[in-house]
Amino acid sequence: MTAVARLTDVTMRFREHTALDQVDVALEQGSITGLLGRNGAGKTTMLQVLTGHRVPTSGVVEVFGAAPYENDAVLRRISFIKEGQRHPDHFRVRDALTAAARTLPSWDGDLAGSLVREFDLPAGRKIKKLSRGMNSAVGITIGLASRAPVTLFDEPYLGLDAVARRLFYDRLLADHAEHPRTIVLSTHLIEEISDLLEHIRLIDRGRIRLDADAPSLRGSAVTVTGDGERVAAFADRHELIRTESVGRQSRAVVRLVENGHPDDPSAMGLSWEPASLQQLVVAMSLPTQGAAARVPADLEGVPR
Amino acid sequence: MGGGGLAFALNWALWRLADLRRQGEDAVTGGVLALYVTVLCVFVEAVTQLLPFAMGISLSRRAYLFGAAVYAMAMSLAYGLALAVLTSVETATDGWGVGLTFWAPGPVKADNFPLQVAMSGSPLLAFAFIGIGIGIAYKRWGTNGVWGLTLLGILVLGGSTVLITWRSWWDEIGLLLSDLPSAALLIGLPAAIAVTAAALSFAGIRHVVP
Repeated sequence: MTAVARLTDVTMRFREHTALDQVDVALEQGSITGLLGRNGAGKTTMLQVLTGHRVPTSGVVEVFGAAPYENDAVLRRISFIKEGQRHPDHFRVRDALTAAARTLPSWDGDLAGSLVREFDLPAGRKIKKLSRGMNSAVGITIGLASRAPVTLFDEPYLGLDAVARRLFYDRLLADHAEHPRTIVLSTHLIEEISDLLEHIRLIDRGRIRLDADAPSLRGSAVTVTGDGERVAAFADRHELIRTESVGRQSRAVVRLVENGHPDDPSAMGLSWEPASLQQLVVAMSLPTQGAAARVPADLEGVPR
Repeated sequence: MGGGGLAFALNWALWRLADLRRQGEDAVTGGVLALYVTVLCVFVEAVTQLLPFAMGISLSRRAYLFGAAVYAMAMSLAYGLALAVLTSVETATDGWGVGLTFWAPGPVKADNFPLQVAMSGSPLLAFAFIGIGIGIAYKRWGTNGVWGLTLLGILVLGGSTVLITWRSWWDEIGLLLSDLPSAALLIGLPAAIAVTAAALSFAGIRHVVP
């Protein structure tokens, strides 16, 4: 597949913080990618770099083969809906949509109209009178109706209830099927969107920890529970993501490694279940066990 | 124009009620300044509110600033025309019937209509671009940026005043200014301020993050 956007060895440093650390990412044309990670992991910074809202400390950013920073030809093909996107207070909802229609060349007015109806948005109401959820719905309407070849949603659902979020996901899928484009959804509501995603990227402390196709990822990990030594023996044959132990019992999230023959944990006396995408992501995002193990030791030293 | 209109209404009521015409030529008002300050505030907000939205709908910073600059110029021309018309009416009606010189007080009064448009409009352009500059300082450096800008302004103006007083240059400066035609001063100086503010805004906006 063709990459429409690419970050090569991109590092973004703030005064005392590295938000992106030598990130290499390519966004394939027409794909729906989930950008997953904890708060502060670097998701928003990555999207800001892709849209030229920030210039990285080092590395190369290319969208449609050119640097996006202050590049109108590139920017008009990108739609970036960020968390808590501010629309001017004195605008009415229809003013915000009219402005977006003027600047985004692939804008679909009919789609915008139907989304306004479905989200029950009052077109004539001033933005400052909208609830937080309605403000998010305005952003989502702009993002979807933009039909921009690269559409980036950065946790756009602030204040949206579960029904409205479902509506967003359904409309996104339906419209993407008719008008394929590259979509990135940054979120930590992993379970809600896991079915939408074709590609998954997990970012943690500024580094890409996981970059995989969603179909290949689904069913690629298991949670095994049982005797600690047996769990360890099973994990040795695969890729241990995380393990927790209580007494002699252990519970581990393990990514299965294809080694030519099926490996059944039940045969080793272990109970198991497929790890969900959320379990896998959480396990990979938690602090490393070495660090976790050190914490109680430090705490023990504190005088009472 | 609401701010200017409100200031005009208040001033007219004062002139009418207190019959300030009889007080002689000293009874002047700088009430039209309310219009200029309103324009400044509108352009501060135009940056703080519209720039993040404009970048959200995929405009570059440069495109936004260019649009804001064109709008500021068109608005200054339109308001310059409106102020010149109001000044003509003011002259024709002997100060709105109460001897009020509001829309072009003192040195801002020009001899002819086109010059009046330029003399009234040029300061508007300066206030608009200063507003844009303040808005960009706020977006880039937050309230610290605005405080820094204010302090810098006080330092430059205060420092100049101290320097001029220390060197006893006031007389020379007075002579220099009185030698210059007021039109050149009232059109040229604001235009120079507007160009400087626009250049600084262009430099400052390049790394604004919405």
